[in-house]
Amino acid sequence: MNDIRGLLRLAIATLLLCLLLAMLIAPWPGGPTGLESFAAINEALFGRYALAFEILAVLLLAALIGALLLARKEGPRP
Amino acid sequence: MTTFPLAAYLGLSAVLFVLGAYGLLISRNGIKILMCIEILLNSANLNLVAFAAYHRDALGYVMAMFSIGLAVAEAAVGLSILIALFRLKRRIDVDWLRSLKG
Repeated sequence: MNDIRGLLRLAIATLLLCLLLAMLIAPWPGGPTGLESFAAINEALFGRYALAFEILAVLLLAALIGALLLARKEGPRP
Repeated sequence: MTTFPLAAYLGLSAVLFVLGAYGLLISRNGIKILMCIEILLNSANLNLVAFAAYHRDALGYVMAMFSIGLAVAEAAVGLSILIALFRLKRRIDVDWLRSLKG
């Protein structure tokens, strides 16, 4: 178990090093940074992606009902 | 308002991702596993928002909002499953869940 854990630490450290190295090597041209406007987010969220927004609302409702059913006092009824 | 370069956000996101992955692989506590999943998802969200601000595109923010909603649903279901398991065996670690082991 201990050598597996050491190997895991080594792999994770290698992953972090690779990520940081790739981030430093890749060229990021100095483009504009910063939020354009909240209106753009608003139009995208409620205009083009309104259907996905509604589906997300239904998903949240389903998750809420499922969580209530699973965590009830007497458990899920058979 | 000070603005940081894109690489700062990417570095923070990489560090968060590695922290979450390491905790996810190493921990046996169910609550800890859920928290590590949240850290992973938040590092991905940070990447999305950083690139959206970098390209001045609103799609990244919208994707981050959807990702946050999915993370909320996942956390609710995961926590309720953990509560059900705790009621079953009075244990919170996930070592004993070996019914599907081949």
